[in-house]
Amino acid sequence: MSQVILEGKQVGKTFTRNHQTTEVLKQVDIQIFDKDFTVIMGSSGAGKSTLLYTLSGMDVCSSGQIQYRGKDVSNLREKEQAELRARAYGFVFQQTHLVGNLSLRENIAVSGYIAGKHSPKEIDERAEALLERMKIAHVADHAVSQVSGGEAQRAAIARAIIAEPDILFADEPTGALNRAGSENVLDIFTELHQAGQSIVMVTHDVHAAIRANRILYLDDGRLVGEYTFNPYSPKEGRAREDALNAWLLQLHW
Amino acid sequence: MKELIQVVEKGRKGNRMTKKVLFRAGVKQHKGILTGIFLLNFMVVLSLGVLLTVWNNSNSYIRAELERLGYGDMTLWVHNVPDSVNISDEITDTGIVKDITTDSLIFTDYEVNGNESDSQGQLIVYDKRQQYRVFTDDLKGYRQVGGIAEGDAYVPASFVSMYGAQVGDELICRVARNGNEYPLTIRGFYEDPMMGSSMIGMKGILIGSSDYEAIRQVILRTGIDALAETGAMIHITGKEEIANSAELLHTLEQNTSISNYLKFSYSREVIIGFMMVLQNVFRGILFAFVAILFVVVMIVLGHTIHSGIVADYEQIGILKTMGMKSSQLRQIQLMQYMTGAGCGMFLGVLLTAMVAKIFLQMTITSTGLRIPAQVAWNQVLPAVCIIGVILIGFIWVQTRTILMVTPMQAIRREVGTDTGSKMKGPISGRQLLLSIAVRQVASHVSKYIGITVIAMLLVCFAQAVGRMSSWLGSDGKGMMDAFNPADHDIGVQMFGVNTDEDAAQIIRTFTGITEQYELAMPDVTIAGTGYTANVITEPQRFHILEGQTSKNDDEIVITEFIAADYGVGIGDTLTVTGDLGSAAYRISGIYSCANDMGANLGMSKAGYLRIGKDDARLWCHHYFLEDASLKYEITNALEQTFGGDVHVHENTWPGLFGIIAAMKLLFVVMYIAITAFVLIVTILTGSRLLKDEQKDIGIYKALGMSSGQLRITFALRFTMMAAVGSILGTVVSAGCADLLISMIMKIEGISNFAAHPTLLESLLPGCFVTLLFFVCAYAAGHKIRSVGSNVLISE
Repeated sequence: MSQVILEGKQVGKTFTRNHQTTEVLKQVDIQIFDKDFTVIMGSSGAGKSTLLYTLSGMDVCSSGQIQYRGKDVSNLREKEQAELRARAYGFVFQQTHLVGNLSLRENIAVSGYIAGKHSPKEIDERAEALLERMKIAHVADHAVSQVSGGEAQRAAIARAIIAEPDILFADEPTGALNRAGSENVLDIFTELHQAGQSIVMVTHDVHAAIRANRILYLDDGRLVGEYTFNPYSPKEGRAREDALNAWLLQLHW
Repeated sequence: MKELIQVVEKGRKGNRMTKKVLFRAGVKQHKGILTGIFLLNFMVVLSLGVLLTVWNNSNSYIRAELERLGYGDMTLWVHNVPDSVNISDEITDTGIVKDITTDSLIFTDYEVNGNESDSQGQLIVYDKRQQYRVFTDDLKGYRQVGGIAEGDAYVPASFVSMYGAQVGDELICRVARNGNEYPLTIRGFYEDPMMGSSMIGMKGILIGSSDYEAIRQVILRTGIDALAETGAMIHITGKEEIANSAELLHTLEQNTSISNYLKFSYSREVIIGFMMVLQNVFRGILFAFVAILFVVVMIVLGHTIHSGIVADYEQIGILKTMGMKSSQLRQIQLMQYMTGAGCGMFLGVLLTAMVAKIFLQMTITSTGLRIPAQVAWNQVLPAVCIIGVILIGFIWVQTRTILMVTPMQAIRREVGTDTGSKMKGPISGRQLLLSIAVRQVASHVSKYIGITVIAMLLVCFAQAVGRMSSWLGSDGKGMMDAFNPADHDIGVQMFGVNTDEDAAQIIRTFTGITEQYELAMPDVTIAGTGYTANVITEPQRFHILEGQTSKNDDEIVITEFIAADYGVGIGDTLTVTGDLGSAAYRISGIYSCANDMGANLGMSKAGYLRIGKDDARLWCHHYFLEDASLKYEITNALEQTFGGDVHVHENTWPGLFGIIAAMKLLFVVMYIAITAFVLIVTILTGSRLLKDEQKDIGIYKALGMSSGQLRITFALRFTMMAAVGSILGTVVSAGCADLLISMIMKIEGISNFAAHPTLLESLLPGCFVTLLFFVCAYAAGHKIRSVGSNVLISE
């Protein structure tokens, strides 16, 4: 049994707008295991992204507790929370969210500099290697506005992993990409997972979800189901998709 | 956006309604920015309103009071007039005078609270008919005075700042040698529109007729030992046919014996000039301040409008699609910004009277006058209208960008969006925060350039005031040097049987005397106009601005003010009259001495002896000391040893401390104002930038940057641009500040303004402004803390 690296206990999240309170997460209990590729699925508005950002400390929970490697991180001070994000977590978003006035190379390196796990020289070397690995070395010094969406998303993934995070969080990373771009990004995720990277990904795309070995289903702010796979193999792609669709149908997907 | 679409839909009922609804929505949306514009315009108008009100009211009040008290076109001060001569009758008999009044007085040196007067005081016999205005003890109003009792005196309110005088203090008149002093008790303060300002050395002191008579008897009894002298102040109003006061005086000198007794004379305009010195200098400084403030307003407004339009492009595009014309959209923008500006201007005007009243009340002890605080509408309103028109024009021009945008361009954000692709400056892992800040600035220079300009202007202004303060020095040395014809540490004038050598021996028991010379300041006339002659044994000590000093006995040096008055220059000749006769002198040079507003000249001792008689009592021995810090101890020792037979003065005068205090106050006020400026400007600019950069902030936070680090990068951007502006401001000031300040200083008769600030003093304003921008930007960046992950969430 893998070790639990991130755990949410009775996590609740409410939003208040114009004196109206909406409960988005309802006492969610969730465990994320080391070296797992976990996908959170659910219908639109189910609270998938909210759960992801609450778990990752990008947002605070209204109730409950988040533990990272057994330590309560739900009430960390802002500076400690930032340090956790810098050193232990990596993020990939649906929109690439790269900094517009930095080149791709700089976007990747800055993340490493902030984490401060390695010397600036080592970061530069790692950035160079990641640019090669992500096949974007040829546009390394281009501005974000000068590259394609796929290239930008690959740069965003490189940025997320340059500091060797414990957990890589991804919020619909293929949502804004075309088919080829999506496959490319999913292949990278698979490759990372196979290399031992823990990943938590939110998606509503079954084709993306089959890359995971564990799928959680969220409905109306509650975790209502869990499905597990063996590690991904491209040969099993179709079968995994069918199996997942069947399971989702049971959950009224 | 939804809100805007709704309001447009609502507004379809009519153009006016549409504008009204959009205007309200715009005000609501930009209320933070409009508040900043409101504050800046409030400060501009309030400063300008107070400046104009104080200056205008001072001018008109002094004129009105001189008129009310019947001081006429000109006042002549005469002394030692024999009883057999009736000057007033002689003047009346000339037939050129419409009205004449005479106040008997006694010229005397005096001491208040241990402070020796630098100029002679004038003990004026109180005359009920003159309707002097006596202040209440708190200086907040006037009170009735039936008469002045024996032993009492009423002094100008400026005695408070000059001598720290309070009601009940003793004023000791030095009537004659050998300890013949006449003590008076200060019973109150009166308003003197002629000599009441702390900038004027000579002072009128009101006394009762019995004291006047008693002092007069002492003068008569002590004869040659008398230090005080009787005299009179003659106020003359010339008939209409007399062209000016110079002609009036010239005619009187031709037709009466006045020149035999004339001590000095001043026309009404010159008196007003003396009384307005403080207001004039502060007007110059404040006007520069208001001008800078207004430029800052324009820069901030320009930046705000531009970034506001860019931020609203999409909405503008949608509104254009819905049929709104560019001109209508520009009108709405104009209305929005003018609402902020207009409200600020209105409040500024509204509070002008109140602030002017506080200011005028605070400065009563310097101006000596209780100047009314009614707003000078005739000047303030036109000035405010001009500001309003300039702002309207400026906003209209700035909103022209709206014209150039087609609806689809705006919706697709094809215009006005800085792609930020100009990646200048490396991103360094070792200096990450700084390099990110540099990149942000380099990518969007246009957003930050205003900060540089503002910092430059503020530093220039701070440098100017700093230079004045540096020139003035902590002990007022700059002013002392400007007002004294030659430098010295201590001046000693002996009157009794003791000699100068006796005084020098006492000085040497404290410290060595490195150099010494003698200076006398007798009265002389040129073409009938009275001047002070600075007669010196070592003419090379004069502060020569141009040409040579007056080494020979047929040479004089004059101030550039006398040169301008007579239209003469180096090499020309002037006839100077002393108590023995007249002689022609060649002007060998132009020198600097601001005494009597520059109405003085310099000559050698040999030169003076051609027209005046020598008298040991004339000469004051000026010493340079090895250890100048001991001058206060030396003064005490000399006064204790020789009592009333010695007059010791430093290179200073009582009013100087008032000027230094005023300058220090100005310094504090200026730095407070600069702080307020920077804070408002930073908040205005910063809030726009933060709004534009929400996503980037969210990204950096996701990468693990703390709010504190992001605030530092944010503050560093302002700091960098402010530092550039500060450096430019410091460089520009080094080249131009002295020149500009000299123009203001010339109002005071100071023609040789040249500050020599230390390196620290030169760098201080720039460092202060830069640091201030950092602190204010860091404070303005507190909103970074509230930027959450929602800016990155697509769900």
